Amino acid sequence: MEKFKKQLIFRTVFLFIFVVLIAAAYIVIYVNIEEKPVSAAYSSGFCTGLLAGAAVYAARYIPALKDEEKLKKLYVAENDERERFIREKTASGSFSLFAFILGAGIIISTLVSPETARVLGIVLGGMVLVKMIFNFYYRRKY
Amino acid sequence: MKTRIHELRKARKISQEELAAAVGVTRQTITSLECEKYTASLVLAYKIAKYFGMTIEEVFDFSEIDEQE
Repeated sequence: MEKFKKQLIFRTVFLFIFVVLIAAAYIVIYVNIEEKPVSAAYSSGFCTGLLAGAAVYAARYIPALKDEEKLKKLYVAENDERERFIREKTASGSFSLFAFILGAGIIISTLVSPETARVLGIVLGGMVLVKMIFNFYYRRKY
Repeated sequence: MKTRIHELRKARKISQEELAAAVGVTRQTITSLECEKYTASLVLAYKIAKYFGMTIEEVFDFSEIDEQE
């Protein structure tokens, strides 16, 4: 349980540092842009939402770090083998479906907007690359 | 996979919650095992069998797997 506790402390600290750094970087860039694009307001909202979400996610570990019973419950919830199985199935299924949708999007957008097709192609390529790296890593690990 | 978890649990008057806590899983996992929706890993099967003081084969029914071979 001590190992799990250390993991939680690491995750909490890492997430808080991430939130603070991204927020600081965003504010510095935002303030220094003289002519703000129309999308700046949307971008600010999205950034705020994302960072607030990360902060809330990190804060949910704090009660577990203070209470042994809550820590044990969280440990079981995170390490339950059925939950892990569901997470793995969901992740692999989502990837395949999303890749298929992107592939279809690339084919259709090639006819309508080559620029969009290029962006979608880069996204799909990036996703496949990340998957290949993880696949290679886990094949070597297990 | 068929199991005797429900039967053994009832005989010993143990709740799903208690069994789940003893073997380190959620109550939903025990429910899924009893409903034959989920097949336990070797480690979990071992923990459950050990909890009931039995062997894995006495708790889990492997006859379907034997038939497939």
